[in-house]
Amino acid sequence: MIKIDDLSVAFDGTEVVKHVSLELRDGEILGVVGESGSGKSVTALTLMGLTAETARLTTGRILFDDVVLQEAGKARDKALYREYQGVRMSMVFQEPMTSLNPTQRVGRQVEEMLKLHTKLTAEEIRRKVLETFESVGLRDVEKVYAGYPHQLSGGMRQRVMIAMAVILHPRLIVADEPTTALDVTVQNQIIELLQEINQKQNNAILFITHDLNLARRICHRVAVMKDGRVVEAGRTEDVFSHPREEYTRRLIEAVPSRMKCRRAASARGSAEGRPAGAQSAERQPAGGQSAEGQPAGGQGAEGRAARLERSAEPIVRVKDLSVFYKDGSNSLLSRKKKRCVVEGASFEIYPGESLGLVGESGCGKTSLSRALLGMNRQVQGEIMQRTIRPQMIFQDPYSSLNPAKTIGWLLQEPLRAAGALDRTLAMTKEDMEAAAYDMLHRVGMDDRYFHRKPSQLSGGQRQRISIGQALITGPGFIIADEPVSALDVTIQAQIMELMQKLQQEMNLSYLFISHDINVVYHMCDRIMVMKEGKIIEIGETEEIYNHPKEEYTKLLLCGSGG
Amino acid sequence: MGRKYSVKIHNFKWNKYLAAGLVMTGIAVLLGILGFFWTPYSTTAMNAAEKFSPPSLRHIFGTDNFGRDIFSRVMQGLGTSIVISSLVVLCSGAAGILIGALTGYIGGVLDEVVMRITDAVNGFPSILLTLVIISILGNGKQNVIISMSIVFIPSFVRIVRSEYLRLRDADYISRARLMGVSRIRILFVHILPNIFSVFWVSVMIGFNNAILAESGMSYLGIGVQPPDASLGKMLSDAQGYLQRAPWYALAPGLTIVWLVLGFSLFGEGIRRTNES
Amino acid sequence: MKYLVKKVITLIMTLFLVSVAAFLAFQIIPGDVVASILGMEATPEREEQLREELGLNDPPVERYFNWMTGVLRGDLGVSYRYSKNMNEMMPVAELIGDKLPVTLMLAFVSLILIIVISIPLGVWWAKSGSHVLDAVLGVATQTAMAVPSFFLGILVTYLFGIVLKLFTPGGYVSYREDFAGFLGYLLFPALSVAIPKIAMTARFLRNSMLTEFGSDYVRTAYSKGCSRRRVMYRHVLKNSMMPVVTFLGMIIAEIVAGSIVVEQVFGLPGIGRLLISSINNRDLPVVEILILYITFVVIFVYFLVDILYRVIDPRISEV
Repeated sequence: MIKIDDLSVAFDGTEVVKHVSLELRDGEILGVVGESGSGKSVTALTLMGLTAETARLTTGRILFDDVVLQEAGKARDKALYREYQGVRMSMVFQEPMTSLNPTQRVGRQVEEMLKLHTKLTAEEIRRKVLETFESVGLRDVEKVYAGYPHQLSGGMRQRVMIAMAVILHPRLIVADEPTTALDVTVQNQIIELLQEINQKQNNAILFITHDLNLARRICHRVAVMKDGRVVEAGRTEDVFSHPREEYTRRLIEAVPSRMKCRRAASARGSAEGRPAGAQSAERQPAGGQSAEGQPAGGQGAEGRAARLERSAEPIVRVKDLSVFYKDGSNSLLSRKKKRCVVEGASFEIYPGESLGLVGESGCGKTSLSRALLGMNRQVQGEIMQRTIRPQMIFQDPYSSLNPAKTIGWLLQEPLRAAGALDRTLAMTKEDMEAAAYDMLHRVGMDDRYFHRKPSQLSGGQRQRISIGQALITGPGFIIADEPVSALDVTIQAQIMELMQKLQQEMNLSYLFISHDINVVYHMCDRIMVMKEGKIIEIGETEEIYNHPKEEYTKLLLCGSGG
Repeated sequence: MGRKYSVKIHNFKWNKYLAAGLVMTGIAVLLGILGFFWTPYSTTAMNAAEKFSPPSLRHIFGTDNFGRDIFSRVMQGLGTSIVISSLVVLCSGAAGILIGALTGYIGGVLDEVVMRITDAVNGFPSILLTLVIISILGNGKQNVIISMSIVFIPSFVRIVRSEYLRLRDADYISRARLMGVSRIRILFVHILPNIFSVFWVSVMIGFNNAILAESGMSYLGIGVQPPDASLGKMLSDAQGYLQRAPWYALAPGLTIVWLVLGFSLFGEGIRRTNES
Repeated sequence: MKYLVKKVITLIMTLFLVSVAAFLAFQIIPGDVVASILGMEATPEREEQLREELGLNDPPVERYFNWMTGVLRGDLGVSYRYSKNMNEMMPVAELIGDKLPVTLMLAFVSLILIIVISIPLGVWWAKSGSHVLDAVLGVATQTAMAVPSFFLGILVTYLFGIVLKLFTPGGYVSYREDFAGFLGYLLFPALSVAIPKIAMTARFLRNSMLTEFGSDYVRTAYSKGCSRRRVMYRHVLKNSMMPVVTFLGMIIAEIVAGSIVVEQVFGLPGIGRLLISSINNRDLPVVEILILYITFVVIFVYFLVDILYRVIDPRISEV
């Protein structure tokens, strides 16, 4: 039905999509998978005729039932497209928060579809919209109809978007990361809804995602994109079980599925109980940037085993900790309400151990870590630490380094601060500089970067500097808040590698926070699961993975597709 | 990925706004400063024979009702305007940084009070407020500078405060706190360099408003008094001879426009470099 | 409703604070004015007598309440400078008389001009894809914004008054005699006040529209098969008008200030001239009342804009 033939798209002369060919049959779900910037979204937008005016087709064409919608060298025929948009093809976008007009009632926005393309009367239109709302699982449809987008939850808005997309029974639905912005529990419902629609109405779905597990779960066929090209395409099972391309293999390995973890675990038996050594051996980074020092594979078995002795005193002990948060604006007129965001948390972290903390956004992970760092004083309970100043590694490498300073300055600043607080720690200028250079090398970067500014560094490099800055005063305990989730998968592997290497060299303890249970699996000895401010489960990584006690933990695990 | 806190000071990108603004303000500032030391003709010598002569090669802006060279007088007026607005921007900008940094970073009751005052003053036409203060302090150049400086503080406070508020929770500032960096050092070593790009834009806007307010007041006969030359005063003098000598009004008027346009292009240029 | 009550209370509180500030600024800080009123004729007896007459011997709090209740009843105090005759002081109320409506009318006509011209201009500008037009309007508005209103007044006088002879400079017609003639004359000063603001508002609206055009919901609208025209008028316009309303509210104060200055250029008998001469004469009671009036007007307009904003923006209407 749809045929994308040798399509190349360029913005201002740079091609972001290169010679892409895809085909889609009625009733089929085709997944387009790739990292951010791989060209998958541009391909979808081009297909829908929604790219900006500056985008040019440099080669190829797009066909819908043998009708040429777009062709290289010709301007887009907007009138022709308008006959297809909405009627024969429609789109569900990633951001349900912003994809609806904020000042128009939801009902009217869905009605617009019918007003544009049908000749129904006002009453018929209204009935049809309400019916469609019901069919996508919205309750209280009258209220939704008369409401504004900001009154609906994220999941409801996405259902409205889907209702809008299916109301005219188009033969093609393009879904661009439709669940990425939603919570795990809602993600599942939306995915099920899309599958249901696909089965009932037999429309084709072009499903764009960065989440391989998700693609594996619902797509009939997948195409893997990288740097604007399709590197591999085929039936889902074939691609996943026998990836032909190196890149596909790396993508699959970088985000391990649960099945794969099990395999690894059972292969080595449960004596050691921790496959991390083997895992890191597999994921030796291709670039070898951090490969100096001992080979990553060797560190695992012995190093880990040694560190796992629990006889040592914990480096951090938390007992019955509750964290509060003041609500309301900072105004004299409004009363401040205290809200409990973390309730009765108790746990220990031992020297050399990595403790993982998983949970959805808003579950209290960040509040807990801020309390540990002393950044939130609204706490009850006990925190005992054997380190003076625990440090933190932040999620966004672009905002965690002061953009006005040089790398060398940034690496020395913790030493200067420590010296100012405690005269006995004061160091000479030369010593500080030497320490900064040493740390630069430890995080796998060379002297050249000393005088550069953060904006001249890539995301991965910045995260390395971040790590170096946190470690230079030798704090012993580090909180890492989603340290890799803003990075591309291949870089993720390198950064995790580096963190493991440094952990061993400096006998560090990590509290590793992530929403991605797979990343935690790689990094951590034990895992803690948080939900709505409470720690609901805590245990050995393998244990949590294979025998989760809580229903919620299971959901978290399969939410990412396993 | 959230907001970006990056600043581009190095790899500074030129744009046409910046270039035009720099050229325009550059010419005006040079002429104004030159006017303190040298003018083509004496600004006070009257010459009945050359009364109301239209612009020519001899007098490029023409002469006024006393036969004085308008170009020379414009040069001096420019000088006055530039000196006054520089002093005003310097004083109010420095005060703005200090107050904005403290209120934005620390917050609390102090912030609340300062913000109420700032809002009230910002909502009030600046030229009127200056007039109020002058009406209490009395006329004169010093009082013009003092009252304008006071009136301009809130606009700087607002900009600086909002930048500090934004950066206060930036990850890199949280980290500086975790390292144990002192508050003063965070305020002025860690945050301050990051607000300059935005601050320069408001400095340019400040120049703009200062020139408009200064010339407006001297047009109304309040503020700078003779013998100090001023563009506004020239305009109000020229108004009576609009029919006979339109150039007399056009020269100081267009000079003000030139200067203001220069500064606003400059500001726009900086804003665009920040954004790109 | 709860919001409205809260807002009204804030409004009253602000007015109270402003009046206290004005009182402090004009009656306490300047010190004893008696000597300056009497000037050469000052004798200790006369000074004491006048002080009693003006109520300057009362404690400050009492003086404030006396003054404020007077203002509320329409007794605005007396001028230090003007007098009716040798024995009678000039009441400020009489001095202000019918000057205030002239200034307010000028500001109002300016505001109407701004709205009527800048909105279509901004929409047209955003709509046209032409680079030439973009550049021309860009330069024109940037320049217009740099022209001070008094110079603009002179230019308008020269162009429309002297060259084109569309009106007689200085030929003001009182609104009591001929309202149409009054408006006809007012059009030119209003234009002088409005032109820089028109440029600003048009630019602001255009930028706001272009920003809205980049938002996700616009892409959604296109994906439904909307034409650009429909997207523009049905979706983008309303959203981009929201910040423009706030912007217009913000420049009201400047319009009032501009009106006061432009009055001088066109010889309008508004409060501007009185204000300037009172400042020059240090006639503080008059300045005080004028400032109070202007502030009240500005604050009240802000209040109205705030209410209006809540009515048109569904996102905050229920807070």
